Amino acid sequence: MTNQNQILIELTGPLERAAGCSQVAIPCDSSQTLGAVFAWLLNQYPAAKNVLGDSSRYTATEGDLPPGLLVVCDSVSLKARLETAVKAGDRLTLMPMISGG
Amino acid sequence: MQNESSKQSLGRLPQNMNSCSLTDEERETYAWQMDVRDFGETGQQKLKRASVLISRVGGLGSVVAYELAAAGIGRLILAHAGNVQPSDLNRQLLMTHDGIGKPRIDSAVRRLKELNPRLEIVSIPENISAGNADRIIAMSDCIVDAAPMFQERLAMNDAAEKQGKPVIEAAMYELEASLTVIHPPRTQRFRDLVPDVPQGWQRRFPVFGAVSGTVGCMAAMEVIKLVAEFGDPLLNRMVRIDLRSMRFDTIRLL
Repeated sequence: MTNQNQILIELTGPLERAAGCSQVAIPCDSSQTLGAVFAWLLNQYPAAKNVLGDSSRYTATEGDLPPGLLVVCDSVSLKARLETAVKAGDRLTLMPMISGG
Repeated sequence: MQNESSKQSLGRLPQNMNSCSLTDEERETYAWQMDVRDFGETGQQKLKRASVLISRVGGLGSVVAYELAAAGIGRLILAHAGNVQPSDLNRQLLMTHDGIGKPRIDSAVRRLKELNPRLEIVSIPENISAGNADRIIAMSDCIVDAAPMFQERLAMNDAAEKQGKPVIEAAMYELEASLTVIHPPRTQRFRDLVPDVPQGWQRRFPVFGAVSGTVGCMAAMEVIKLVAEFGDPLLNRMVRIDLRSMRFDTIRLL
């Protein structure tokens, strides 16, 4: 169950492997942007840089997500950008596209 | 209920149904699957006259090829470069120990012909690239993408989109897998999901053969549904599989 003061993030595939965990809870009192969520992840899990790229990417207030990174909420892949708002209580899955054959 | 979009023909299959009537031997071989609802002898004939390209017959593509050969697809076009290596053998089920050091494509053809000697195979000892994608895709009605590099997937989807052909996008990583069908304008373009090569993807990825085999079987079923025009193919939906927890999610792609 999601705490109403946090955003629950599920990490999959190479992002889960890079971060070393499959689920993280980000403290959040109000709304924030996906860019801020990614910056928080990189601060807490520096190895996630392998998938999310350098934190400098997330100083911008708007822009595209890293190529091939799906953001899924309630079983729907969002047309998300850095400036997309997320709020406390949300549950998101960050799903890097994979290519193993 | 069947989606209207899934009923649209692939549009590139030969029109002469007589040339694809089944022999008595084929009727006997495929009798059990022709009992499947909405498939029948008509579906079997559609499989017989279809040409399916599989990009790489490694851990995933080899299982797709084997299942399609078993199901009675008429022609497989297999694209895969290189020789069999010992590290292939944990998952690439068309390769065998005695094939180590020999072309992968030769092993694949031999194993498939053992299963189905009626199968026509076009073997191409190349991986898909921007330089050859148009030519190779032109030979097929339908494509299965099982390549390990995003460069290959992007090149193939670009060419398939130009030629209006559906691509079954199947992939795995560790104990996870994903599957969807890309067929613009019925669906998003692959580049809508992956605009460019993602950061951090590496040629060597963690893999059990049982994972690539699982999604390979599912990809083969998507081919059969698309070619025989029944069921609901994964248009605008992606199945995400996590075999660590045995979780299967269907994600809507907007």
